[in-house]
Amino acid sequence: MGKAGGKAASFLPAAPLALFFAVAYLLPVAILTAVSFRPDLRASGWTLAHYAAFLGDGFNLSILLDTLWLGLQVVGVTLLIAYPLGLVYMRAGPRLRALLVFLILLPLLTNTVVRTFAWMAILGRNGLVDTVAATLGLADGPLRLLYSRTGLVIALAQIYLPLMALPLNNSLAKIDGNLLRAAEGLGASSAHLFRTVILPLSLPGAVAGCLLVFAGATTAFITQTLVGGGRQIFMPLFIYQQAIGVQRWAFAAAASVVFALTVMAIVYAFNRFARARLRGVDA
Amino acid sequence: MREARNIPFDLAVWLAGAAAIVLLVLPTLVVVAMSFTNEFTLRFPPRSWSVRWYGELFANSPQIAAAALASLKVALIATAVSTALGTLAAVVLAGRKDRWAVALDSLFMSPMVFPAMSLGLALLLVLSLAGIRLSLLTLAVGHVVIATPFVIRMVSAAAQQMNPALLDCAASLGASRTYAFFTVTLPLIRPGVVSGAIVAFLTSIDHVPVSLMLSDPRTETLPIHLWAILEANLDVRVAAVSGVIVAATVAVMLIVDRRMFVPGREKG
Amino acid sequence: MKLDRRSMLGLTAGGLAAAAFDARAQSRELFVVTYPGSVDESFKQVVGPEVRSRLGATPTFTPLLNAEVIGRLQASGANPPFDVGMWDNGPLILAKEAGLLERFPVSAMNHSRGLPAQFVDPDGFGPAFAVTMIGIAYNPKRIAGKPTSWEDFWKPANKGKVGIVGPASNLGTAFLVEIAKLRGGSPTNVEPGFRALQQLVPNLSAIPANPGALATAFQQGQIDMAPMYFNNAAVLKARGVDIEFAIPDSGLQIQTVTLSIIKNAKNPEAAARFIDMMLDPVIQTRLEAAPWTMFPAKAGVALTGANKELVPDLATLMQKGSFLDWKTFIGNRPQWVERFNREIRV
Repeated sequence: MGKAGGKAASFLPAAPLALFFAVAYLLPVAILTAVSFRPDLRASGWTLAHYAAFLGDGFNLSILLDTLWLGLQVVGVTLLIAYPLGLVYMRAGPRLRALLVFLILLPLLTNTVVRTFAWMAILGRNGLVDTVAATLGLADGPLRLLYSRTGLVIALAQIYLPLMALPLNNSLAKIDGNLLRAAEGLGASSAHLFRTVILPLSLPGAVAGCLLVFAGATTAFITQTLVGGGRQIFMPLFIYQQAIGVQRWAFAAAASVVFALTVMAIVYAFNRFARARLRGVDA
Repeated sequence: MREARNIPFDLAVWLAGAAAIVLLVLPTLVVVAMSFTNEFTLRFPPRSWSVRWYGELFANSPQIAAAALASLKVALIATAVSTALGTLAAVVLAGRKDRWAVALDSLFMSPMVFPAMSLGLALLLVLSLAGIRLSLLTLAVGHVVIATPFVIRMVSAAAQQMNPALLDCAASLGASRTYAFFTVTLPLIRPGVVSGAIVAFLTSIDHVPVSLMLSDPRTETLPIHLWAILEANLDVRVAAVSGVIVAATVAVMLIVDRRMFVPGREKG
Repeated sequence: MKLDRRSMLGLTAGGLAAAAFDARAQSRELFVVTYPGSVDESFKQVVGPEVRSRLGATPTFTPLLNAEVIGRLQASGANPPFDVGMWDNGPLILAKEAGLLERFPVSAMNHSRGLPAQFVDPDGFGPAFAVTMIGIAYNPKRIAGKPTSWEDFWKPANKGKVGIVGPASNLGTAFLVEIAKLRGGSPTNVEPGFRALQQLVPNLSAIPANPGALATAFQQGQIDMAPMYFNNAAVLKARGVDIEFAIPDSGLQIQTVTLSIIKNAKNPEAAARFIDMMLDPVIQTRLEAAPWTMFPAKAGVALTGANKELVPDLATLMQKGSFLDWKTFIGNRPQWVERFNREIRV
């Protein structure tokens, strides 16, 4: 057997999955793309009209950009919450660590709808936040957090926090304790230590978390519709409405293609940027 | 010895960490509390308490039960297929840096960030154009694509820690590749395979966008069904379902070996 | 929890067997479209057991907007996911035009014989089983004075209290047309309606996705005033929500709700029997009763409770209310949905 043949044969165990992906993933995406250039789902001929209609329209573009912006906002908030949590985790003993992992996994293991529903009860008028704020005299009248952008970002950040916290904790746990003690012994302050040692070393976990949270928050149809309310439209609802609601299949296909390309491009760029930054850090 | 100048920073970290923990747990507690309401409306805190909605759920909710069963079937098929195919692929691709391996790996990992609603529409269009009827199987096909990246990630992490010399050793003793895979590789990467299967199951059972696009009455999964009754009926049984899910989750987590969840210890 | 090769094969085999079993069970199943909200609930609770005992079939009720049903049917081609459709007057026209429906066989008519002309589709696609009315729902504890007109929505005192649905739903379409007429437009000229909606934005608290979600938002105290179906409001009231229903001075908007067999339905005989069963006075009476308060299409069914308070009988309702001429404008709906999404935001 020649070397090339041996190399091809070494891929053989991956063939079933490759075949499955070709039929169940690449083919559908190829057909989605093809339909997006058709006048309609079952029509023949080719056209750029749907792309022109989507891209040439400020309203549609604003939905796309707003969806990406929502993803970034949620990523930002989860980072802000996950780092303190990670630092606590890092300094915790084995028992507290196990408890923390349990508490982080618990929401991840309960249904998304359940968590969304909880946020409706917390943010709604006369909900938990309103009640607490009124009792403490912090607000006169309802805060109107349900159906607001703030409420949506908070809810999404909580729902996707585990996806940030797990890889981040993993990275943080790998940091050598001796290194930290040595730095402290040399008189480095906690804040300095965080900036110069912990932050750079935890970046691989943070990057993985950012990608997962971004992908999750931009496609979180149920939370976006139930907590966001009808006034905020994001790409998943837009695609669903255009396809199922008004049966503009080819236009919905074009919107899907643009959405997918944009998300993939952002992820790719972020990944490259992060890897370039990490090359100097990661051992 | 921690110095005084560190106190503000450390204090801030502990306070923020504590706040994060409250944030993580609070929604679950709220839902569980609301499931014990005695009222027809969902209000927190409830004004009076009862277990009537659990009774209603177990006695008189055939469609919720059907949706839960559909979710379970789809998740089991998706878990089995994605774990089997994903494990095989991950073992081959783990640690390899040549062009084809990297390309295949990127392909297999891409559903993790590919917008699921776009994938759902793509699958719906294909099935529609091919005249294939929606079923639990067609839905499971979509879920396999969604779940596979998680299997690959878990299994390759385990496979990369494996000593390649073991396989050479097996080969020199005359073991075929297949035989070596089942007798040497698989036992060594089992923790990765099991974690991969669990994550695949969780991903499938909680997945919405593809299920929504491919949903019809026969393929309506639990999240889609709960979403529909939550949005339009505000049925208190949703809270009871949530209570059951939370209880089941806690029970499973306590039963499943806790080592699984503690990072850095799964090698043991 | 060990997942080895054998248990995985077992799982796969189990899943495939389950799927095969699904295919076998199909003939005994009946898939019926309902409306999101109390109609769906009433079907699950009242009609479901009847389907099981009388037709020997397992019913599945799926709440969807009419427009979504058309989308699902178009996508599924010759394999429709439903056996029975439920339509308001406007979408029924679209569904007929698109060839999605089957004519209701005269031979299946028993209870559905002899209905008034408004309650039978002129092209033979099925009977109406209920009448729905659109008026103003309001929270008497938070809205000062009983509303008398749709114009009350625009009062400065109701800032942040109003909820509406978009024209993707029949309720939202009817509301838009009604507003357009009030402001000098017509069903084919809704320009004044859209201008009015823009002026309504400061008063809006929520734009839920469908009429069921609108009722939910009302129940949660998120909105205090909304255009609403009478039966949805009655169900909330029966549950102890602070809600009252007012008839605007421009009159009640009425629609009939038609049941039809879906073309290529897997179970057309059961579908026909189901539709006829829905006009059985026994079922009509149970759906008329509290909390469901569906207004019966069958003239002989006695009115009780909230329905009786609203009007003494069906004939009076037909006088008091008015039907919209849906066929003149239903074709414009996609543009209206698009325009609503664009313009009515904050």
